[in-house]
Amino acid sequence: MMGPMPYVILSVLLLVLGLAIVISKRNAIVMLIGVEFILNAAALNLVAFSRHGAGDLSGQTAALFVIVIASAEAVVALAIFLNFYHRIATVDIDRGDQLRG
Amino acid sequence: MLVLERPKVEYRGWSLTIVRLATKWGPWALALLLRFAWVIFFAVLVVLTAFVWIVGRFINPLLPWFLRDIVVVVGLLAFACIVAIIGIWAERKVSARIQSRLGPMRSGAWHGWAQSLADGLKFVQKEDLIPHSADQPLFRLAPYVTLVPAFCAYLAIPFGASWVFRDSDVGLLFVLALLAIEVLGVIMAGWASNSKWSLYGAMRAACQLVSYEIPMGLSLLVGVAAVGSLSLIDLGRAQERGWFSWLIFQDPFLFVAFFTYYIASLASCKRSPFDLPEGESELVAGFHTEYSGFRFVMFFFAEYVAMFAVSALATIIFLGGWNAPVAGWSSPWWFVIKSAFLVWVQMWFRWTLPRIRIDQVMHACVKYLLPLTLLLFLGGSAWQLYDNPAHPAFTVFANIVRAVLGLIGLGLVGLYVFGAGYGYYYRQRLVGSMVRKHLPGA
Amino acid sequence: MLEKAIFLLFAVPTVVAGVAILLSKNIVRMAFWLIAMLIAVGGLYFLMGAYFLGVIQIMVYVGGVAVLLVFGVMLTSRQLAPKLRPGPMETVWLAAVSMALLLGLVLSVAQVRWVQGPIASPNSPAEIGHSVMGDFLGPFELASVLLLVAMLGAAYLARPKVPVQSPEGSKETTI
Repeated sequence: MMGPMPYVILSVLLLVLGLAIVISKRNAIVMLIGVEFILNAAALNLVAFSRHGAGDLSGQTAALFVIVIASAEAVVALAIFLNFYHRIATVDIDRGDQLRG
Repeated sequence: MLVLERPKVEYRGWSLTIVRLATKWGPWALALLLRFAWVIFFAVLVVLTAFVWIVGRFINPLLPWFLRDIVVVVGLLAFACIVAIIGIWAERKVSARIQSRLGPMRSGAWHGWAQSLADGLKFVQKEDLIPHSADQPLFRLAPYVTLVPAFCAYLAIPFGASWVFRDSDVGLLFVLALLAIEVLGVIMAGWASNSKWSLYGAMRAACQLVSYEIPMGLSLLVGVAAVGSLSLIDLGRAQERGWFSWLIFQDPFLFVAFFTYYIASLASCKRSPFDLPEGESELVAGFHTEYSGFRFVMFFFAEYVAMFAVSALATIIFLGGWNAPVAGWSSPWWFVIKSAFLVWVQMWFRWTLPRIRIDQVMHACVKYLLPLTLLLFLGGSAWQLYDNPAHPAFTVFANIVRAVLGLIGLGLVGLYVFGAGYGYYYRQRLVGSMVRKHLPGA
Repeated sequence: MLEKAIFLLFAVPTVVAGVAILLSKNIVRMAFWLIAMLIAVGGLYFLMGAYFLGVIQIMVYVGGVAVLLVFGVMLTSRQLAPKLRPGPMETVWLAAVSMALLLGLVLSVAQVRWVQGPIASPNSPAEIGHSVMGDFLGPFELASVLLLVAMLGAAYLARPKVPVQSPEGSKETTI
């Protein structure tokens, strides 16, 4: 029987990978992909602790909320990026340096 | 006798030997195979059935779990393949009859039943084209991503109260989730083909399927709220007491929910009138424009396998699943017959209704179907709140409504039987004389 | 033993997907790698007995969010070759920061003495429903308001209304 350790290590890996993706990529949508990695790392941790530590369902419920919030975030972010793309015809976030609309 | 002029080259190696033997004996073998295809087909069917029966009856208790699982999975795969093969043939026959034609009549002996097998042989021989500018790995992967989830959905679908691979607490959601993965294959195919038509098809598929998943799920949730379980076995068990206990007749919201589910499932299988992703009149063939040979067959298979899967969900949740109209006669055959009937009705839709535009598809979903299903869900939940012993007056009212709905259902079935009988009896007058005398098997 | 094998079966693809996204140049491939990661994490939920969560992960993430992402990628990726790869100095910094973070986190995780609580048995969706409607009622209502706001905001943002400015000059067209 495995403890929570492998899951936590995997979650750390996912977190670092997600952060690296967010840092290194310029494309806004790919940064969103990195954010999804980070959120999944958090949810994985929550479920692992819910199973091995607490023994009740609060971790799973919290992971459910993570999924809800991630989907809402993805939708709004994509809408923003499409707007961004409509205005300056690129999704390179370095070009979004004007406050003027 | 086929005579091939071969260059004087000495063949070496086993692959060339196979080619030589195939060119020499292949036509004979193919002709023989097709001539006796029906014998082979039914022999295989009988052997498979006998095998499954013997395993289930005698060997199953002795087998370790993984062997049993392998046997069941192979059986399910065979079932899905047979569904697809018969479905493709039936589609052609339905289309022919609706257009006053005969459809395939020659392959096989009886009404061209082996047409799908012959088509399959043809497709296997075809060249496997991959466009030069296509995204190769994704192009190769896409048919599998479409087909495999559709097959996997059968793992959770029960064919009877104990005829299920795995009964899960979340069986219904599992099937829906796998059908949702199928969209990805379509998008992947459309993107990887690197063709405008395919990309348009993929975009349309993405819009349409993601939108229609919501009314589909909400309509099913009305049934789930009535029973109080997501397990497909529990949902089927709740309808064991004959015709009037089927969920579709339990309250008016469920009655409407069946039809909204059916419309949404048409859209989620990309069936006409919602077959925009592959609209032949505008997009050549939509997302599978660039596919040929066996990869195309996989998309084709996936469509029919998914059609049966969504019809199976409708059967289990609304139409009593494996339960007969009379209590106590339940059998997997009822389940297969009801699901096949729903698939058949999907085919009628395809050959009678015109295709609608993509903006009309989205309007129909977001402006009409989605609010309607939300209302149905609210109404169904409220009905469950009042339909209990605490409200005796409402229970009486509910029973009257149930009886009326059940009678309406009987009336619909009667209407269908009458219509079909009328059409069969007066078929000469209705469709004119079809050319049938000169054809074998007629 | 079997559990470890299944864990590896799902854990390896998640990491491979992350590395592939870091190294890849093709945005659409990145989106499909993300989908592979999401499905694998769903498999891990199944392995941990959280069946409902696993199914919801596949349904919402793969069927919804990922399809939207791919859709967004398709709508925006025909462009003048954006700079997607970091420069050499950036790569060094990136590797250094990531490695430092990884080392720190792994070391701190390894330091912890894990107390094995009782293993929660595989649960039914009904229990999660009770949990959501009981202890987590406040967050649940908040989440529903959040979803409503997100839906309205996305619909407001995504409507086509703005004159498009092409990247080279000031030529303006309307869409």
